[in-house]
Amino acid sequence: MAVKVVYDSTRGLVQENDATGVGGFQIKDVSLTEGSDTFDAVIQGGVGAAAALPATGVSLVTIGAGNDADKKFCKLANGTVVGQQKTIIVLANNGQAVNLTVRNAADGADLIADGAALNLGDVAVLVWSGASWLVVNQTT
Amino acid sequence: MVQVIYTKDQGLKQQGGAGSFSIESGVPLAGQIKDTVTSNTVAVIDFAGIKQAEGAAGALEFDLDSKVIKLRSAGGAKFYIYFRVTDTGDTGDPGLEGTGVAFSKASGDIDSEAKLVDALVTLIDNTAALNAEFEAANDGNDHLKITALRMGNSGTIVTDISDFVGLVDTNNANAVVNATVTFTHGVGSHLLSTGGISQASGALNAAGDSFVVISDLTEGDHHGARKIVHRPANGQTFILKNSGGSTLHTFDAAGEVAHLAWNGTAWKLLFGS
Repeated sequence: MAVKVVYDSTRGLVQENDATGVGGFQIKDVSLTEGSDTFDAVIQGGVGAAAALPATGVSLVTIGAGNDADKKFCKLANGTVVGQQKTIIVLANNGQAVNLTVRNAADGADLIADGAALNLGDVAVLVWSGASWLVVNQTT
Repeated sequence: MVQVIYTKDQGLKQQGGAGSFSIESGVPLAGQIKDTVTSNTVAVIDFAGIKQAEGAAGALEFDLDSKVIKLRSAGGAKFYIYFRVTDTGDTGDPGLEGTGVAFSKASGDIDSEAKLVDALVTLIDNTAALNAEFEAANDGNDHLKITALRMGNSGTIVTDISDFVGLVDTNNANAVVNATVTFTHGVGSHLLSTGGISQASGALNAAGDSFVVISDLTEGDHHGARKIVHRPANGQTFILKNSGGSTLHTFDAAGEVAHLAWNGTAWKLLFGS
Protein backbone atom coordinates (compact mmCIF):
# COMPACT_ATOMS: atom_id res chain seq x y z
CA MET A 1 0.00 0.00 0.00
CA ALA A 2 1.23 3.46 -0.79
CA VAL A 3 -0.11 6.95 -0.41
CA LYS A 4 -0.78 8.89 -3.58
CA VAL A 5 -1.20 12.64 -3.55
CA VAL A 6 -3.48 14.15 -6.14
CA TYR A 7 -4.21 17.80 -6.79
CA ASP A 8 -7.25 18.81 -8.79
CA SER A 9 -8.86 22.20 -9.11
CA THR A 10 -12.05 21.27 -7.27
CA ARG A 11 -10.74 19.20 -4.36
CA GLY A 12 -7.29 20.69 -3.88
CA LEU A 13 -4.72 18.35 -2.40
CA VAL A 14 -6.04 14.87 -1.66
CA GLN A 15 -4.09 11.99 -0.22
CA GLU A 16 -5.45 8.59 -1.10
CA ASN A 17 -4.39 5.00 -0.82
CA ASP A 18 -2.83 3.60 -3.96
CA ALA A 19 -3.41 -0.13 -4.05
CA THR A 20 -0.81 -0.54 -6.78
CA GLY A 21 1.91 0.36 -4.30
CA VAL A 22 3.55 2.77 -6.70
CA GLY A 23 2.33 5.98 -5.14
CA GLY A 24 2.83 9.23 -6.95
CA PHE A 25 2.25 12.94 -6.90
CA GLN A 26 -0.19 13.91 -9.61
CA ILE A 27 -1.37 17.34 -10.66
CA LYS A 28 -4.55 16.87 -12.56
CA ASP A 29 -5.82 19.85 -14.42
CA VAL A 30 -3.83 22.95 -13.69
CA SER A 31 -0.38 24.23 -14.44
CA LEU A 32 2.42 23.75 -11.92
CA THR A 33 4.11 27.05 -11.29
CA GLU A 34 7.10 27.86 -9.13
CA GLY A 35 7.58 31.21 -7.46
CA SER A 36 9.33 33.90 -9.45
CA ASP A 37 11.70 36.78 -8.82
CA THR A 38 12.73 39.72 -10.98
CA PHE A 39 16.21 40.87 -11.89
CA ASP A 40 17.75 43.63 -13.99
CA ALA A 41 20.70 42.47 -16.07
CA VAL A 42 23.94 44.41 -15.63
CA ILE A 43 26.91 45.35 -17.76
CA GLN A 44 29.68 42.80 -18.19
CA GLY A 45 31.93 44.51 -15.68
CA GLY A 46 29.19 44.52 -13.10
CA VAL A 47 28.48 40.82 -13.04
CA GLY A 48 30.93 40.04 -10.29
CA ALA A 49 29.40 42.47 -7.83
CA ALA A 50 25.81 41.88 -8.83
CA ALA A 51 23.49 39.58 -6.95
CA ALA A 52 23.13 36.15 -8.49
CA LEU A 53 19.87 34.75 -9.73
CA PRO A 54 18.65 32.31 -7.09
CA ALA A 55 19.10 28.65 -7.92
CA THR A 56 15.41 27.96 -7.42
CA GLY A 57 12.17 28.90 -9.11
CA VAL A 58 11.74 31.25 -12.04
CA SER A 59 13.78 34.38 -12.66
CA LEU A 60 12.24 37.11 -14.80
CA VAL A 61 15.14 39.08 -16.23
CA THR A 62 14.98 42.52 -17.82
CA ILE A 63 17.78 43.44 -20.18
CA GLY A 64 18.72 46.87 -21.41
CA ALA A 65 17.65 48.71 -18.26
CA GLY A 66 17.78 52.45 -18.84
CA ASN A 67 17.95 51.72 -22.56
CA ASP A 68 21.53 50.56 -22.07
CA ALA A 69 22.16 47.73 -24.53
CA ASP A 70 25.24 46.65 -22.54
CA LYS A 71 23.10 45.64 -19.59
CA LYS A 72 22.68 42.07 -20.70
CA PHE A 73 24.60 39.99 -18.19
CA CYS A 74 23.62 38.04 -15.11
CA LYS A 75 24.91 35.13 -13.09
CA LEU A 76 23.25 32.11 -11.59
CA ALA A 77 23.93 30.75 -8.12
CA ASN A 78 24.95 27.13 -7.73
CA GLY A 79 22.26 24.57 -7.18
CA THR A 80 22.04 22.53 -4.02
CA VAL A 81 20.28 19.33 -5.04
CA VAL A 82 21.01 17.10 -7.99
CA GLY A 83 18.19 17.42 -10.50
CA GLN A 84 17.11 20.84 -9.27
CA GLN A 85 15.60 22.86 -12.08
CA LYS A 86 15.89 26.55 -12.80
CA THR A 87 13.87 28.58 -15.26
CA ILE A 88 15.02 31.92 -16.68
CA ILE A 89 12.71 34.09 -18.75
CA VAL A 90 13.73 37.28 -20.55
CA LEU A 91 10.76 39.37 -19.51
CA ALA A 92 11.60 42.73 -21.09
CA ASN A 93 14.36 44.39 -23.09
CA ASN A 94 13.65 48.14 -22.99
CA GLY A 95 13.80 48.18 -26.74
CA GLN A 96 17.33 46.79 -26.82
CA ALA A 97 17.54 43.88 -29.25
CA VAL A 98 20.37 42.10 -27.45
CA ASN A 99 20.83 38.64 -25.99
CA LEU A 100 21.08 37.73 -22.33
CA THR A 101 24.32 36.13 -21.20
CA VAL A 102 24.00 33.93 -18.12
CA ARG A 103 27.17 33.14 -16.22
CA ASN A 104 28.04 30.66 -13.53
CA ALA A 105 28.29 32.56 -10.27
CA ALA A 106 31.03 30.27 -9.05
CA ASP A 107 33.56 30.65 -11.85
CA GLY A 108 32.17 33.27 -14.20
CA ALA A 109 31.97 30.87 -17.13
CA ASP A 110 29.17 31.32 -19.62
CA LEU A 111 26.23 29.00 -19.04
CA ILE A 112 24.23 30.64 -21.81
CA ALA A 113 26.46 32.64 -24.13
CA ASP A 114 25.49 35.52 -26.37
CA GLY A 115 25.44 33.18 -29.37
CA ALA A 116 22.64 31.16 -27.83
CA ALA A 117 20.37 34.09 -28.66
CA LEU A 118 18.34 34.13 -25.45
CA ASN A 119 16.37 37.30 -25.90
CA LEU A 120 12.98 38.89 -25.34
CA GLY A 121 10.31 36.35 -24.46
CA ASP A 122 12.69 33.40 -24.49
CA VAL A 123 12.75 30.74 -21.81
CA ALA A 124 15.70 28.66 -20.65
CA VAL A 125 15.50 25.64 -18.39
CA LEU A 126 18.61 24.42 -16.60
CA VAL A 127 19.23 21.39 -14.42
CA TRP A 128 21.83 21.17 -11.63
CA SER A 129 24.02 18.12 -12.17
CA GLY A 130 25.51 18.27 -8.71
CA ALA A 131 28.54 20.10 -10.04
CA SER A 132 27.26 22.47 -12.69
CA TRP A 133 24.21 23.85 -14.42
CA LEU A 134 23.28 22.26 -17.73
CA VAL A 135 20.92 23.90 -20.19
CA VAL A 136 18.35 21.27 -21.07
CA ASN A 137 15.93 23.42 -23.04
CA GLN A 138 15.95 26.89 -24.45
CA THR A 139 13.66 28.73 -26.80
CA THR A 140 15.03 31.15 -29.35
CA MET B 1 11.85 26.98 7.64
CA VAL B 2 9.23 24.53 6.55
CA GLN B 3 10.18 21.53 4.50
CA VAL B 4 7.58 19.45 2.63
CA ILE B 5 8.41 15.88 1.76
CA TYR B 6 6.33 13.35 -0.11
CA THR B 7 6.97 9.68 0.49
CA LYS B 8 4.75 6.91 -0.72
CA ASP B 9 4.52 5.45 2.78
CA GLN B 10 3.45 8.62 4.55
CA GLY B 11 2.17 10.91 1.85
CA LEU B 12 2.82 14.61 2.33
CA LYS B 13 4.66 15.56 5.47
CA GLN B 14 5.73 18.97 6.72
CA GLN B 15 8.71 19.33 8.98
CA GLY B 16 11.33 21.82 10.00
CA GLY B 17 14.44 22.07 7.87
CA ALA B 18 15.85 23.79 4.85
CA GLY B 19 12.97 25.10 2.78
CA SER B 20 12.23 22.63 0.03
CA PHE B 21 9.56 20.51 -1.57
CA SER B 22 10.84 17.08 -2.42
CA ILE B 23 9.40 13.86 -3.75
CA GLU B 24 10.78 10.51 -2.77
CA SER B 25 13.01 8.86 -5.32
CA GLY B 26 11.19 6.36 -7.46
CA VAL B 27 7.85 8.14 -7.25
CA PRO B 28 6.62 9.81 -10.41
CA LEU B 29 5.69 13.49 -10.43
CA ALA B 30 3.15 13.63 -13.19
CA GLY B 31 0.40 15.61 -14.75
CA GLN B 32 -2.79 13.88 -15.75
CA ILE B 33 -3.83 13.23 -19.31
CA LYS B 34 -6.36 16.00 -19.34
CA ASP B 35 -7.42 16.11 -22.96
CA THR B 36 -7.75 13.35 -25.49
CA VAL B 37 -8.45 14.65 -28.96
CA THR B 38 -9.04 12.30 -31.82
CA SER B 39 -9.83 12.76 -35.47
CA ASN B 40 -11.83 15.58 -37.05
CA THR B 41 -15.48 16.28 -37.70
CA VAL B 42 -16.61 15.47 -41.22
CA ALA B 43 -19.81 16.60 -42.90
CA VAL B 44 -21.02 15.01 -46.13
CA ILE B 45 -23.60 16.84 -48.17
CA ASP B 46 -25.62 14.68 -50.54
CA PHE B 47 -27.29 16.97 -53.04
CA ALA B 48 -29.62 14.14 -54.04
CA GLY B 49 -29.00 14.77 -57.70
CA ILE B 50 -29.71 18.49 -57.58
CA LYS B 51 -27.96 20.44 -60.30
CA GLN B 52 -28.23 23.66 -62.22
CA ALA B 53 -30.67 23.86 -65.10
CA GLU B 54 -29.17 25.02 -68.32
CA GLY B 55 -31.99 26.22 -70.49
CA ALA B 56 -35.27 24.42 -69.84
CA ALA B 57 -35.15 22.56 -66.56
CA GLY B 58 -34.85 18.78 -66.81
CA ALA B 59 -35.18 16.23 -64.05
CA LEU B 60 -33.53 17.36 -60.84
CA GLU B 61 -32.56 20.61 -62.51
CA PHE B 62 -33.16 23.89 -60.74
CA ASP B 63 -31.99 27.45 -60.87
CA LEU B 64 -29.49 27.49 -58.03
CA ASP B 65 -28.92 31.24 -58.20
CA SER B 66 -29.16 32.92 -54.75
CA LYS B 67 -29.06 29.64 -52.84
CA VAL B 68 -26.88 29.54 -49.74
CA ILE B 69 -24.92 26.98 -47.75
CA LYS B 70 -23.93 28.02 -44.24
CA LEU B 71 -20.89 26.77 -42.36
CA ARG B 72 -19.57 27.32 -38.86
CA SER B 73 -16.19 26.46 -37.40
CA ALA B 74 -15.65 25.19 -33.87
CA GLY B 75 -13.84 28.46 -33.26
CA GLY B 76 -17.15 30.27 -33.82
CA ALA B 77 -16.44 31.73 -37.26
CA LYS B 78 -19.51 31.75 -39.52
CA PHE B 79 -19.46 31.53 -43.29
CA TYR B 80 -22.01 31.43 -46.03
CA ILE B 81 -21.47 30.37 -49.60
CA TYR B 82 -23.89 32.18 -51.86
CA PHE B 83 -24.57 30.97 -55.36
CA ARG B 84 -24.34 33.39 -58.24
CA VAL B 85 -25.31 31.75 -61.48
CA THR B 86 -23.95 34.31 -63.86
CA ASP B 87 -26.28 33.62 -66.77
CA THR B 88 -29.48 33.50 -64.75
CA GLY B 89 -30.20 35.78 -61.79
CA ASP B 90 -26.60 36.49 -60.77
CA THR B 91 -27.91 37.60 -57.40
CA GLY B 92 -25.37 39.36 -55.22
CA ASP B 93 -24.29 38.96 -51.62
CA PRO B 94 -27.32 38.46 -49.36
CA GLY B 95 -25.40 40.05 -46.52
CA LEU B 96 -25.94 37.34 -43.96
CA GLU B 97 -24.10 36.99 -40.65
CA GLY B 98 -20.52 35.89 -41.08
CA THR B 99 -18.14 35.86 -43.99
CA GLY B 100 -19.81 35.62 -47.38
CA VAL B 101 -18.07 33.73 -50.14
CA ALA B 102 -19.43 34.03 -53.66
CA PHE B 103 -19.84 30.83 -55.66
CA SER B 104 -20.00 32.42 -59.06
CA LYS B 105 -20.56 30.01 -61.94
CA ALA B 106 -22.18 29.87 -65.33
CA SER B 107 -24.98 27.35 -65.69
CA GLY B 108 -22.86 25.05 -67.78
CA ASP B 109 -20.24 24.84 -65.06
CA ILE B 110 -22.57 23.23 -62.55
CA ASP B 111 -25.12 21.41 -64.70
CA SER B 112 -24.31 18.01 -63.21
CA GLU B 113 -24.03 16.95 -59.61
CA ALA B 114 -20.38 16.03 -60.16
CA LYS B 115 -19.60 19.44 -61.61
CA LEU B 116 -21.46 21.14 -58.77
CA VAL B 117 -19.58 19.21 -56.08
CA ASP B 118 -16.20 19.59 -57.74
CA ALA B 119 -16.72 23.31 -58.18
CA LEU B 120 -17.64 23.70 -54.51
CA VAL B 121 -14.54 21.70 -53.54
CA THR B 122 -12.41 24.08 -55.57
CA LEU B 123 -14.11 27.09 -54.00
CA ILE B 124 -13.61 25.91 -50.43
CA ASP B 125 -10.04 24.77 -50.90
CA ASN B 126 -9.01 27.89 -52.81
CA THR B 127 -10.68 30.48 -50.60
CA ALA B 128 -8.27 31.40 -47.81
CA ALA B 129 -10.90 32.19 -45.19
CA LEU B 130 -12.71 28.90 -45.76
CA ASN B 131 -9.58 26.83 -46.22
CA ALA B 132 -8.25 28.08 -42.90
CA GLU B 133 -11.07 26.14 -41.26
CA PHE B 134 -12.16 23.43 -43.69
CA GLU B 135 -10.91 21.06 -46.32
CA ALA B 136 -13.29 19.86 -49.02
CA ALA B 137 -13.31 16.85 -51.30
CA ASN B 138 -15.58 14.89 -53.57
CA ASP B 139 -16.19 11.71 -51.58
CA GLY B 140 -16.18 9.64 -54.77
CA ASN B 141 -19.95 9.50 -54.95
CA ASP B 142 -20.37 13.12 -55.99
CA HIS B 143 -21.13 14.15 -52.45
CA LEU B 144 -19.45 17.18 -50.92
CA LYS B 145 -17.23 16.07 -48.05
CA ILE B 146 -16.16 18.89 -45.72
CA THR B 147 -13.58 18.19 -43.02
CA ALA B 148 -13.11 20.61 -40.15
CA LEU B 149 -9.44 21.37 -39.72
CA ARG B 150 -9.91 21.91 -36.00
CA MET B 151 -9.50 18.45 -34.56
CA GLY B 152 -12.00 16.77 -32.27
CA ASN B 153 -15.72 17.32 -32.20
CA SER B 154 -16.45 20.53 -34.07
CA GLY B 155 -20.21 20.12 -33.83
CA THR B 156 -22.50 21.13 -36.64
CA ILE B 157 -20.06 22.58 -39.13
CA VAL B 158 -22.67 22.71 -41.90
CA THR B 159 -25.39 24.70 -40.23
CA ASP B 160 -27.87 25.28 -43.03
CA ILE B 161 -28.62 23.69 -46.38
CA SER B 162 -32.31 24.53 -46.26
CA ASP B 163 -32.12 26.15 -49.69
CA PHE B 164 -31.53 22.66 -51.05
CA VAL B 165 -34.36 21.04 -49.14
CA GLY B 166 -37.92 20.76 -50.37
CA LEU B 167 -37.18 21.64 -53.98
CA VAL B 168 -40.09 20.70 -56.20
CA ASP B 169 -38.96 18.88 -59.33
CA THR B 170 -41.48 19.94 -61.95
CA ASN B 171 -39.98 17.49 -64.41
CA ASN B 172 -40.47 14.50 -62.20
CA ALA B 173 -44.14 14.50 -61.25
CA ASN B 174 -43.53 17.35 -58.84
CA ALA B 175 -41.37 15.14 -56.63
CA VAL B 176 -39.83 16.91 -53.67
CA VAL B 177 -36.04 16.73 -53.65
CA ASN B 178 -34.09 17.06 -50.43
CA ALA B 179 -30.36 17.42 -50.01
CA THR B 180 -29.08 15.91 -46.77
CA VAL B 181 -26.05 16.33 -44.59
CA THR B 182 -24.53 13.71 -42.33
CA PHE B 183 -21.84 14.23 -39.71
CA THR B 184 -19.08 12.09 -38.31
CA HIS B 185 -17.59 13.73 -35.26
CA GLY B 186 -14.12 13.60 -33.81
CA VAL B 187 -13.58 13.20 -30.08
CA GLY B 188 -12.67 15.94 -27.66
CA SER B 189 -12.08 19.62 -28.28
CA HIS B 190 -9.49 21.28 -30.49
CA LEU B 191 -8.99 23.72 -27.61
CA LEU B 192 -6.47 22.16 -25.24
CA SER B 193 -6.43 22.91 -21.55
CA THR B 194 -3.49 24.78 -20.09
CA GLY B 195 -2.84 22.21 -17.39
CA GLY B 196 -2.04 18.53 -17.46
CA ILE B 197 -1.07 16.60 -20.53
CA SER B 198 -2.96 16.71 -23.80
CA GLN B 199 -2.99 13.94 -26.35
CA ALA B 200 -4.07 14.38 -29.94
CA SER B 201 -3.92 11.97 -32.83
CA GLY B 202 -5.81 10.50 -35.72
CA ALA B 203 -5.93 13.67 -37.79
CA LEU B 204 -7.81 13.10 -41.03
CA ASN B 205 -6.69 15.83 -43.33
CA ALA B 206 -4.02 14.50 -45.67
CA ALA B 207 -2.73 18.00 -46.36
CA GLY B 208 -1.40 18.12 -42.80
CA ASP B 209 -3.14 21.29 -41.72
CA SER B 210 -5.48 19.89 -39.11
CA PHE B 211 -4.80 21.66 -35.84
CA VAL B 212 -5.32 21.95 -32.12
CA VAL B 213 -4.98 25.15 -30.10
CA ILE B 214 -3.40 25.73 -26.71
CA SER B 215 -5.20 28.43 -24.75
CA ASP B 216 -3.33 31.30 -23.15
CA LEU B 217 -2.69 31.47 -19.44
CA THR B 218 -3.25 34.72 -17.60
CA GLU B 219 -0.96 37.43 -18.95
CA GLY B 220 1.68 38.51 -16.47
CA ASP B 221 1.15 35.41 -14.34
CA HIS B 222 2.08 31.72 -14.26
CA HIS B 223 5.62 32.46 -15.48
CA GLY B 224 7.45 29.24 -16.29
CA ALA B 225 4.36 27.01 -16.29
CA ARG B 226 4.83 23.98 -18.51
CA LYS B 227 2.56 22.09 -20.84
CA ILE B 228 3.09 18.80 -22.63
CA VAL B 229 1.25 17.82 -25.80
CA HIS B 230 1.66 14.27 -27.04
CA ARG B 231 0.68 12.51 -30.23
CA PRO B 232 0.16 8.90 -29.11
CA ALA B 233 -1.07 7.35 -32.30
CA ASN B 234 -1.06 7.54 -36.05
CA GLY B 235 -3.08 9.63 -38.43
CA GLN B 236 -2.12 12.57 -40.56
CA THR B 237 0.21 15.38 -39.64
CA PHE B 238 -1.36 18.11 -37.54
CA ILE B 239 -0.28 21.43 -36.07
CA LEU B 240 -0.26 22.78 -32.53
CA LYS B 241 -1.15 26.47 -32.65
CA ASN B 242 -1.28 29.21 -30.07
CA SER B 243 -4.40 31.29 -29.56
CA GLY B 244 -3.17 33.79 -32.13
CA GLY B 245 -2.99 31.11 -34.80
CA SER B 246 0.80 30.81 -34.96
CA THR B 247 2.36 27.37 -35.25
CA LEU B 248 4.10 26.12 -32.11
CA HIS B 249 4.88 22.63 -33.36
CA THR B 250 4.04 20.32 -36.25
CA PHE B 251 3.32 16.74 -35.24
CA ASP B 252 4.34 14.67 -38.23
CA ALA B 253 4.80 11.27 -36.58
CA ALA B 254 3.25 9.17 -33.86
CA GLY B 255 5.02 9.38 -30.52
CA GLU B 256 6.02 13.03 -30.84
CA VAL B 257 5.96 15.37 -27.87
CA ALA B 258 5.92 19.15 -27.60
CA HIS B 259 7.09 20.69 -24.34
CA LEU B 260 5.93 24.26 -23.88
CA ALA B 261 6.67 26.96 -21.34
CA TRP B 262 4.56 30.05 -20.60
CA ASN B 263 6.73 33.18 -20.50
CA GLY B 264 4.04 35.42 -19.05
CA THR B 265 2.58 36.49 -22.37
CA ALA B 266 2.90 33.52 -24.73
CA TRP B 267 3.60 29.82 -24.95
CA LYS B 268 7.11 29.05 -26.15
CA LEU B 269 8.31 25.74 -27.50
CA LEU B 270 11.05 24.35 -25.28
CA PHE B 271 11.25 21.08 -27.15
CA GLY B 272 9.44 19.49 -30.03
CA SER B 273 10.34 16.03 -31.25
